[in-house]
Amino acid sequence: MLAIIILEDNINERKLIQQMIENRIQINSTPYPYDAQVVLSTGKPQSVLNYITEHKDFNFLAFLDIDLKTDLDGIEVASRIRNIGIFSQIVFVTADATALRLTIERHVEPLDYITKDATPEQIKQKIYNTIDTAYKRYHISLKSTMRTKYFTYTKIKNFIEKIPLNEVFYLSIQQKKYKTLRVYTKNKIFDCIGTLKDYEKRYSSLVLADRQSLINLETVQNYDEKNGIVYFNKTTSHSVAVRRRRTIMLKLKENTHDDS
Amino acid sequence: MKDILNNLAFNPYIFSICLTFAITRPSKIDFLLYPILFIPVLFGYQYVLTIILVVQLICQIFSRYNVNLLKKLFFYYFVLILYPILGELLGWVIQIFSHFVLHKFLDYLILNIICFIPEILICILIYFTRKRYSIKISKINSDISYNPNFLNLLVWIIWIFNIVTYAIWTIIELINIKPIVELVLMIVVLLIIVILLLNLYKTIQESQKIIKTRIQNAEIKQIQEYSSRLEEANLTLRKARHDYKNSLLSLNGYLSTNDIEGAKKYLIELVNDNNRLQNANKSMTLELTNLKIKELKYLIIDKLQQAQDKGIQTKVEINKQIDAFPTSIVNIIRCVGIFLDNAIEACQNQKNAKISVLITRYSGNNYSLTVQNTITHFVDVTNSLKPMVTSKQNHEGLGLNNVNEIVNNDPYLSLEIEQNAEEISFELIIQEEK
Repeated sequence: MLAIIILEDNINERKLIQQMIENRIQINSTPYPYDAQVVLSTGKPQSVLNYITEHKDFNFLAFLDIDLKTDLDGIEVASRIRNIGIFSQIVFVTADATALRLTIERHVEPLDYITKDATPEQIKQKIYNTIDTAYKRYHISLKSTMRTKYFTYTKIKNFIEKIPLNEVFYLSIQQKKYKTLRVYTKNKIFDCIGTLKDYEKRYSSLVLADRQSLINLETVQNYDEKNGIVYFNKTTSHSVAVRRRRTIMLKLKENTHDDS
Repeated sequence: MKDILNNLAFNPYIFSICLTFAITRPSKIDFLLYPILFIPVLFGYQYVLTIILVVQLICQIFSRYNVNLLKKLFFYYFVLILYPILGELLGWVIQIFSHFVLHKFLDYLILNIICFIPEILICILIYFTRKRYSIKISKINSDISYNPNFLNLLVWIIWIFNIVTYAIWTIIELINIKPIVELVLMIVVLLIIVILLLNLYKTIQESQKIIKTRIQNAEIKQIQEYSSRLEEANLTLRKARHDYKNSLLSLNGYLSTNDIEGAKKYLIELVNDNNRLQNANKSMTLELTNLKIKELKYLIIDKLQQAQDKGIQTKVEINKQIDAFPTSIVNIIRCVGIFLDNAIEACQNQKNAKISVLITRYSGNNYSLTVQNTITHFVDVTNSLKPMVTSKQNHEGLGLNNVNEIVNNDPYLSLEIEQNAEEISFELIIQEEK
């Protein structure tokens, strides 16, 4: 089921949006109603957060109003919902489409924007369209058996974020900081909270290359066992401690067998 | 029963615990932790010596510059060095006193019990003097918290001192030394401790002054840059007035030849040009109204104006009012300065270049500060972060490597660098300790 959340502080607008969404779930271009339901319709950001922490296995489609007056605003709620479940999409309902556009794009990557200054007919059409696309995507993500594995991490306290595991190259500890790791990936370098041990336990493809770093066997392109260097792409490589060179060779071989 | 009490140095043990709680502001864990840590005191100096060695070893392996742990360690060592001297000296004083008044020496148990009275008075005294100077202490405290390296140095110094004094106590206990030599040794050690502490206090204050002047210098430099910017703006205004006059004259020229079409065209051109110039300035100050940190505001205005002068589009987004960051502003200014300089340099030779600065405030005192710019080719970030690798071509190397250093040394900061085909972004995350 696709769980739909509405966060909007104006009661009338909230009811209107909910009405439109429920209509579209029942009557749409397919012969059957969508397997979707409005699970929460509220004006308080905190209750949205409470709901999603209680239902972590749901797939959410959230219509959020960016209200900047409260301490917890739509942007923050959105970036938390975004990282729950394999498929969770955000639609922003806003009075001004240009306000904080770049910030939203960067931290949330929303499915769409709905601007309130459009005519009711236009808004209705837009909501119908977003529900259609969101449902289609949700359906596809359910069908695909090849689910991508994700690497989840915490960058800012209380925020869980994720990236595909097959983009992670290696993790190393930050010498001078307590429980902080730096993660090197295909397009990104970032710091996150945690210890090497936690991540080694959580992901089988991450193995220790030396006492300070874990490498991701999935992304190793080349391995020079003699000199103890693994290559991830043209520019990124990592050294392997002498004691671990043999084990890494064996594990890499094992992995290629599994693939074939 | 009397034998046990005589053998166990229960007085120094309780005294050391009281002293710790008088000096530090104990949390719940401390009430459990310190009594356990001080247990070796009950058995004698050689045991304390061993536990100091072990504790220091464990903490240095696992601490990783954890400020709270280092602080606790510092107080622990400090009390360890202080209690035997104070205790023993008091014992001496009371012993001499009783010798003259009662004409006999007191036995160990009674001495221990009598000693409690002055000891508790000392603890109360320290507690109240600490309260009186609490502002000064908390200031030093906050300064040291930013500098775990310095704190670690202090811990090491006091640890070495502990080792030396405890080695001496152990030797004194093992071989019989004349009481008068013991007394002299005590006084010498006490003197050394006082001198050491005074000097340490001075160095801390000195370093505070140095930091302050450094900040002031940076501020002055910024104000100077800002005022020179203002002057420049003034100059451009004057130029603009001059230009106006010229344009009016040329308009007059069109009209005097009755070329209405030409005049119209020229007028439209003029109006468009002016709009563009005015919009750029107005939007930037509007966008930055939410940022109340002056230093950072000036820096961003300054750098982005430089960028605009070079024809680069700029954009600033700040979601909520920001009054202060939980860490030193100097570090943040340095990082953002480097990011913006890099961005301007990278955008210089691009068409349709764009730089955007996004500052986002999350609930719970967490902030994200992002500088994004368009790129034409892939930047090898992984290698430019490493301190050793700086090729001449890769000019960004030096700046980023500085950023890396700053972030690694500040427990409040973390870094994220991300790029795709068109854009690269540098994000500084500012949050209180995890």
